[in-house]
Amino acid sequence: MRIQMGLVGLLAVCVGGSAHADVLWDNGSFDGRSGLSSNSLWETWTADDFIVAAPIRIEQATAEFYVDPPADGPFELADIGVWTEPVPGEGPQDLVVELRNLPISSEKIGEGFGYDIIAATVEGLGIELEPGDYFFSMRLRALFGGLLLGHDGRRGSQRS
Amino acid sequence: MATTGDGVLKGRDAGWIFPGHPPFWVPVRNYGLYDTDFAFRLEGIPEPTTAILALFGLAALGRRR
Repeated sequence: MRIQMGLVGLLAVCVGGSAHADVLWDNGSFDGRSGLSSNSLWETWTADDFIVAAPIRIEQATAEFYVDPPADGPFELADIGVWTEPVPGEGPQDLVVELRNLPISSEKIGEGFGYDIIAATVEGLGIELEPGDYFFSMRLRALFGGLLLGHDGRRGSQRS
Repeated sequence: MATTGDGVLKGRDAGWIFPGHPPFWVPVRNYGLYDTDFAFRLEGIPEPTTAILALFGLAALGRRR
């Protein structure tokens, strides 16, 4: 009986651990001191590095960035990219995760340098990564004059 | 897992912008006066802890049977 109770407790810990999301990486707050749009929506990814010390599974990503003012909200979709950085300091190399058109929750949290500052959150990612150096990027998909821009920089298709 | 960074892309954490065709990445700092502010936070599960506990639990369950 004691062993069974211990087992139940152990399994509860396992389930609890699975349900609880830890902060795996936080590259800091949005400081508003710089003025280049970090998501120009025109063929660009802006990425920053993060380091994985032990295997992880990323379930949620939250990003804050400048967005060009011509983009019309609300922002409901985003793309996510993860690249390896085999040589530290050399920048992104191989694209190992590319997820497109992910449903997001987003809100405008401010303005700066003529850009809107948008915070966006994606849940349910399930990205598993082995230890290593990586770069991460999130990019909103948005409307420019009624055209939904594609991740590849083409103006994409009309949003239906 | 340790966290780091101040949200400013600089130095080792300069950040890179991909303006065209892969693999043509440009360090943001090459834009001169401009920098870009891109803050992100990743949340999820450190796999080893959960996996090891789960395996241990399953093994114990198997022994009981």
